[in-house]
Formats: sequence, C-alpha cells, structure tokens
Amino acid sequence: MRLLTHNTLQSPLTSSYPLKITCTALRHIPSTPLTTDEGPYDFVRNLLENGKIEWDGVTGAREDLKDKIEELAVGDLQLPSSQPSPDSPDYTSTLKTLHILLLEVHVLEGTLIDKENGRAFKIDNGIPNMILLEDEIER
Amino acid sequence: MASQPSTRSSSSSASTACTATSTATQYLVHFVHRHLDFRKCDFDSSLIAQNLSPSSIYAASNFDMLRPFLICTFPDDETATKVAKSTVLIKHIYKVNSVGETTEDCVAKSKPFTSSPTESWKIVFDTFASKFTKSEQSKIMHQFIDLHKPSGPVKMKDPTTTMSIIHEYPVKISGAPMYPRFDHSGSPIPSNVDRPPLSVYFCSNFAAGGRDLVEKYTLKKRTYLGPTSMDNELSLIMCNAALTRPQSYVLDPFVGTGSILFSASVLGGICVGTDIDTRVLKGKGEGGVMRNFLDCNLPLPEIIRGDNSLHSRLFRSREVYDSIVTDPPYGIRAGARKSGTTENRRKPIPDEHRHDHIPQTQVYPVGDVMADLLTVAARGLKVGGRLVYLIPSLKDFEEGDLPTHECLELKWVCYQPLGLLLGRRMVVMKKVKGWVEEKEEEWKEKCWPNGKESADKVEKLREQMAEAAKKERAEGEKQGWGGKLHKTKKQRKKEMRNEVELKKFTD
Repeated sequence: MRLLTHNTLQSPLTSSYPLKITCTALRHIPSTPLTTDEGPYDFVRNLLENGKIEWDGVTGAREDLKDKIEELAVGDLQLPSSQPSPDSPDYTSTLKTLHILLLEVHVLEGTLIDKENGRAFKIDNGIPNMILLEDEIER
Repeated sequence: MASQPSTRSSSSSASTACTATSTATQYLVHFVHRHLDFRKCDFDSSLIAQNLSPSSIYAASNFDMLRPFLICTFPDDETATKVAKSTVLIKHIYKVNSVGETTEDCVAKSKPFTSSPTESWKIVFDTFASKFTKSEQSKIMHQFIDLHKPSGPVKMKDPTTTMSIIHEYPVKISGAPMYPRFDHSGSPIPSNVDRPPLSVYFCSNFAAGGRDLVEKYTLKKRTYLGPTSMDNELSLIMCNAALTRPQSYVLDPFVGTGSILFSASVLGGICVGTDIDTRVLKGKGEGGVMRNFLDCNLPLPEIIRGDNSLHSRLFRSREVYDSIVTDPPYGIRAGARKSGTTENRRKPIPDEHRHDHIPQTQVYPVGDVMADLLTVAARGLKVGGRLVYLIPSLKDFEEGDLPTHECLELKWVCYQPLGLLLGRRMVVMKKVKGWVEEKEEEWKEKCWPNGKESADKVEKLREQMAEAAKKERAEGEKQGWGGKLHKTKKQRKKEMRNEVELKKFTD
C-alpha cells in the first residue's frame, strides 16, 4: 500500500480520517515521475493543485511512519505544516518529497487504525483488508 | 446514441474507394482484421488520447467496419507514430504514394518513390481478401519499377525505403473473402479473377502498430492466472478506450486476478484495484495478484480488499480517477458477493475470535452490481474521465437496457461475438457532469431507464446465457458437430466402457 491510497481511505465504520498507520515492514520502490509542459511531478502536482490530496493525511502518515522512513535512507522527507501554494519558493522540492512519500513508499505489513474506536484493519503483503464484519455493516 | 454513432451501422459504403481530398500527406492506417466492432472506438480513443479530434484526421464517411484500410491525414510523422504505437488494433501505418481504383490507375497516379541514386529500396506485395500468383505479383511490381526507374540499389534486408503494393478486396461480415480469385485447389475462379479490387494502394512502410504488446504480455507467459483472467488483447483495448496513458489514475473495483490493471499498467497507468474475495488477491502460493506485475517489472498496483457495495463509506476521495476499467462479476464465471448477511443467519461474534473471524457475505444481485458500479464511476471519475466495462449479452440486445447515470454519457457499445447467439459488449461512458453528494440516491434510483424490467434482464442474464448456449448446441447438433463437442462426462465414460468391452470381445 502506497501512502497515496492511505490518503484516499477513511474508516468505513466512523468515517474517521486519517487512519493511523502502524508498520512493521516499509519498502522504498523508486518510480519515474512524469514531467509535462506544465511542470515536473505531473501526477502529484495535478492532484495537489486540484485539491485532491488531503494535507493532514500526508503529514499524519509521515508522522506515523517517522522512524521507519529514517531507516529507508531516502532523506527526511520533511513537509511544510500546511499545503504550500504553487508560487512558494520550495514548491518543486515539496513536490519531489510528495512524490516519494505518496508513490514510492510502500507499507508491506502493518495496520490501519480507526482513531475514534480503535478498530484495526490489517495490512498483509501490502494489501489492506478493509472488509467489515457482518455486525459492523449497519450504522 | 448521443454524440458518437453506434459502431455497428457503418458498413454501407463498401463499393466506393477510400479517397480523401486533402493535399496534405496522406497516411494509410492498416487495422488488424479482428474485433471489427471495436476498431473505430479503439482508433478514435487513440486519437483523443493524443489530443487529436477524430474528425480532423479522417472523414467519418470513409470509415467502414468491414474494411481494414483507412486514409488519414496526421499533422506530422511523430503524431502518426505515436498513434500507431498506442493501439493493438493497428498493424501498420503507411505513407501514401498513390491510391487507385485499379492497378493501372494506381500506377498512373504514382510518384517517384526514391529520392537519391544511393537510396536502397524494395517493394513488397500485399493483398487483402484475395490472392495473386507470383508471376502476377512480379508483373504488377514491374509496372511501378518501369515507370519510375529507381536508380538506388535493391536491398531485401533493411532497405531505406520499403514500398508496399496493397490490393484490397471486399469481405463478408463473417470475415471470409467475398470474391476469392482462386479456389482451394488453386485454380482460378473465372467470375472473380478479373474483378476489380476495392482499392489499390501504393505506399511506403512507416510505423508499426502496438501489436507486439499482445504477444509480449500474453496470458500464456503469466505465472498467476484464474478462471476470470481476461485475454490480454481485449484488456488492452478496454484500457485504450478508457484513454489510459502514462500516469493515468486507474481504478478496477472488481480486480480479481488483476488482468485489466496489468494492461493499464503496461500503458503506464497508476492502478488501484479492490475486491472482496481474498482468495483471488492472495492466490495459492503463486504470490497472488502482485505476482505478474513483479515478473514483468511493472509498477505494483494498489490493491485493497474492500467491498464495492460499501465503496463510498471506504473511499474519501471524489473525482480523482482518469479511468475506471472493469469486468464486473455477473455470476457466469464467478458469482458476486457483498458484505453482510440476512437477519436470521446473524450470530454474535465472540470477542476472542474477532481478529480472525471470516466475515459472512451474501449474494450481490447483478442489478445492484451495475447500479453501484455506475455510482462509483460517477463519484470517482474526474469530469472527462471514462468508465469502460464488459457486459455479457445476447445478440438481440437493446441499448436502452443498459444502466444509465445522470453524470455519465454513453459513448460506445462494441459487440464481440463469442458464438452464434452469445457475445459480450464493451460499454464506454464518459463522465460529463460533476458529482453532487446529496443526489447519490436520487440518481441511483434513475439508473434503469426502462424500469425494473431491464434490471431483471441483466439479473436473468445467467439463465438467458445458459438457454442460448443450449439453443446453440441444438443448432450445432443439427449441423452435425454440436453433439460431438458437447458430450457429457457420463456419455464419454459410457462410450469408453463400450469401446473396452468391444475390444475384449474382439480379442
């Protein structure tokens, strides 16, 4: 599971967001970003500028995975505390960090936790199991 | 259909030669003679993906479902090459030197085909739906050579210029030649041998199509397969129809063994798949849905075990995907399930078993599968994004029976026959209107424009297909092959026993 997916998921029980990540295996798989006429890091830039990336989700996930990210040795991947505007001075480097965080970091083993009621969803082999038990479906 | 005509109605102009009037460089697109009903959709999608408008490239009246050749004008060579590479239904794109209604006409209109005395060249002979003998071929080739007298050397291997002479003859809807010049024993058929072709093209080889993708990623080479894995060619066509290009964000809500996302990934998409069934995702020791991606060095897809019927409770994101491409479960190969259970079957789950309890599932009716799919697409797609899905159907089928959604416009319905009566259709819809959360239920209720009936029709598809298969078998038996093909296990065993008995007896 990439953090891009974490950014789009909420708890199906309480709609709590973002889900807290605990992780025992994290991996870095490099991928090539696409540069278009409009600028570098096309994919994340488009999502970001159209308001499709939830900043709290990314910074929350980065905080949850702080220690594991250090072990990956891909830099400290610091992000500003609020979403930067396209004319901010470090914009390109922020996009680069976002690209690595959202598309290159994979959570292989761990859990996603609903912060409201503590329900844990297991991530096994990179696949989060978001299936609800039969008594959890009605709300 | 609203903006695009249905692709099945355009086979009227079979007798006129394709000639465009423009003086710009003309290209000849040579389609693979397969998936006939998909070719226009596929080609137009490739053009749109390159930001070209189909009407600026070719005249719609020149497109004929039964003809594999189409004269086009591309803005430049680079664009033509890109378009050729992006689709598996193009064999080759040529640059046109001359087009004629007969061989003589084509020769007369042709221009010199080499430009310098050192340029090496060769001429190849190609015919569609007919045959020419070696001596006939050589005679026609020499008409071109004698006229232009190219001074460069002839080179059979990798020459600078390769010219093709293509004679196109008409085919029947079944794909068989309408007027074969020779019969099976090779003797000429007098009534056909001098019949003029539809068109003769003299053109230089220019860019090969994306056919190599079909062979490169064929299912045969994959480690992880399942009964629902889809053939590589069709899934590439589906992804192309969904305008998947590098860095497109693609969702398959019924991912199964991942064969559609695999193709989307080949085209450069960033893929997300969900499925309720953990068995297909994990596989049996082969490494599951990720295996084939790892084997082929493709970027891994995002896989989430989730329930399509609860999509909106799980996914927070709206209007993010460029394409949604899927083969929904209709209960023919694999039945659809969704979370939950009926009231009377529900038992309390003891706390100590909660962590490894296997959640119960219930039948997910096909009508709901479709309605939910359209809702997921309307909510998840960017405006302008596309939903592409397959629906098994019978030959007599009405477009009005397809589910609709306020936010989605029907663009294409392409039919692939799988038998005399059975087939499946690829449906392409474009998101044209922004999502409004409050209207979710209101829109969903209007999903079936012909009322509950068409939902029932989809629901009964499985029985209908079984019935059609039965009919087809009966038809086959009449023709003398069906009985043999469709022997039951019991029948085969009985026959085998009889044979053994007989052998014993004769020994």
